[in-house]
Amino acid sequence: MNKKTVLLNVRNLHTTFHMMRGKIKAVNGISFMIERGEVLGMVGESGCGKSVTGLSIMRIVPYPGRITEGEVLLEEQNLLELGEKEMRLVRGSEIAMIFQDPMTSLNPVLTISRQLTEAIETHTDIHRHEAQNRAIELLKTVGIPSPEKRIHDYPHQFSGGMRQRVMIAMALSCYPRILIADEPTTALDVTIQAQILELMKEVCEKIETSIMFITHDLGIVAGLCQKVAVMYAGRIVEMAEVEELYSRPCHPYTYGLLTSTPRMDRRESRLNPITGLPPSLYEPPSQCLFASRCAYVEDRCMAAVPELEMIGERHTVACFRSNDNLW
Amino acid sequence: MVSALLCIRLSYRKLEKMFFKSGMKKKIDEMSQSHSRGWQGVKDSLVRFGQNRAALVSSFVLLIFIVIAIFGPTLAPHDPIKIGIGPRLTPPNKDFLLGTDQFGRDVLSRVLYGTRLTLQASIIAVVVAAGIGIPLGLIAGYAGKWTDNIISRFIDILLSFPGILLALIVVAILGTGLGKVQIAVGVSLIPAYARLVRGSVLSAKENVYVEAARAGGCSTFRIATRHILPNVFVPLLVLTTTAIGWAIIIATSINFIGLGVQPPTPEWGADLGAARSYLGVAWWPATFPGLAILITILSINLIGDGLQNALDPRLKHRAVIEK
Repeated sequence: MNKKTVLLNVRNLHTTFHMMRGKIKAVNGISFMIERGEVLGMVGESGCGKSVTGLSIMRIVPYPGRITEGEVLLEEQNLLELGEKEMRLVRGSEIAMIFQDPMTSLNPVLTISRQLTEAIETHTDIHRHEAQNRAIELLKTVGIPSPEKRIHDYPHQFSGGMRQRVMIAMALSCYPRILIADEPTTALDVTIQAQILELMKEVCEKIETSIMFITHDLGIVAGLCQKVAVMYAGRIVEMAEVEELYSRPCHPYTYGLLTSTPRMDRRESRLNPITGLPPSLYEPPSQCLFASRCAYVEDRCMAAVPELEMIGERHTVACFRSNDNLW
Repeated sequence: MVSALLCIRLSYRKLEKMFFKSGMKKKIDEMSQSHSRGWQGVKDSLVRFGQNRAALVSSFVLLIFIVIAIFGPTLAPHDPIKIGIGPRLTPPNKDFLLGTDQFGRDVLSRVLYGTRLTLQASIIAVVVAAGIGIPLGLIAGYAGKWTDNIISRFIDILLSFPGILLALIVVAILGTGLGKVQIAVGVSLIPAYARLVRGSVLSAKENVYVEAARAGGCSTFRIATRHILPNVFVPLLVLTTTAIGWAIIIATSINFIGLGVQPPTPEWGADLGAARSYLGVAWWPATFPGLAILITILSINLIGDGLQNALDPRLKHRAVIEK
């Protein structure tokens, strides 16, 4: 992992939902890169566009959403220009995705075997029997005991944690180069969470898969990711290496997120929540969208949208006052 | 009518006894003991089906009818079409077990020969209905938007006619004859299939696993047939059994009013229709074809009920009760 090459390059991506009442700009011009073998964390509160970003990269944004602008470059190939057939070859084999709720993301009427071998059969020339062997191998890798027997079971015979392991096996079955994990541990209890995260990290290192980890849990990000992007109202407001971001947050929103998280190393009787609600994304005004909730707001924040600016090596932030040492 | 029902009830009792003596019950119970994974669910369902006596006996009765349908011509004592084999309208006796009809033809032979025509007509009709209705429902449910609109409105039009009337319209367009009746009955059953499949698809396609399958690179066709259609399997199976029952009713009704098979072809509905004018002097030529229709449909419906209970996943916890 000494050679740092850009694997996925998202440039100025816009995804808009065309509703009866107007347009919702769920993803509003975001750009980021994922390097080979890197784990990028995407954090932000509910509805800030994290999941839609993931779906946009896979090009499976549900109706009435549409990608209206931008580029998603996988190495040199712009995924947004591919035909639906070519895109299908990318899904699952180049970029795979794990969803939030393991209870509903497996088909209840098909055996684990059929669901696991499906991806393998779709993307390779391997025959059913061999695919079955590979599926058993995969289940062993993700730590399912006696996989030869369990592979013929149905999803309801598995616990939540086991199902998420199966989902990971399924996502990694074709050794994808990028894994988009959309809050894969949110529905699990804490001890299982730790196991699943450890497993993901381990397996992805083994097959050199980069991860885009979507979550709202800053603790997980600190333990798992190398780089973090903080999203707010459809935009990335700050992006940096994990340690840099946690020790020197430069956007008031990032600062707010960090101070509203309980910490083991400090004694605080109360947490400091960020007051107010995120703005509606129907035709957002051209101003800093965090302005209404920001304690450090100035006149210029209400006049224009701050662009992402480099303020250090690999540290960008979208705030007019990032140099003011506010806290 | 009451005596006929009583008769059926009594014969059911007898058949039931025969069945339990024959050891089939034991075999089904044994099957549930073996523990090969994967087939376990199927076996559990089979055992649950076996515990439903009405359904079990009904399948036995239906099996007999199927055997008759296959071997009817060899079982029949007389030529069903030949006129004047015996005296006209003879009551049941030892030469003519079910009597003779208004042309002196053997009623038993006609009922036996008719079994094949009736069952065949209903099965072909259901195949036609399923073959058109399932894809229509799948396309409507999965594609949505205007495709769904067009297909659903078409189904609504079909639904606005009662089944028999719809079949009559098709017969009026195509003309009479056995093959045309089969198509007509099939068309009248299309809405049932299309609506069932569409509804199930609509609820199934909202599931995360459909999104997950898409993220795994599955094509729309593959998702529709491999991920969504299996979800509809159980209701489809139940619908198919009941649909065969409906098909028999509609087909025999069309034949009853003389728009289907033409005389002298032996068919239950047609025979019933032809013999009804003699009901005052001779009950047998009309009663036995009618009874055949009644028993067949009753068994099919009871099998449908049994299947529904045996395959309903919500009843899974009602585990196999040991006798």
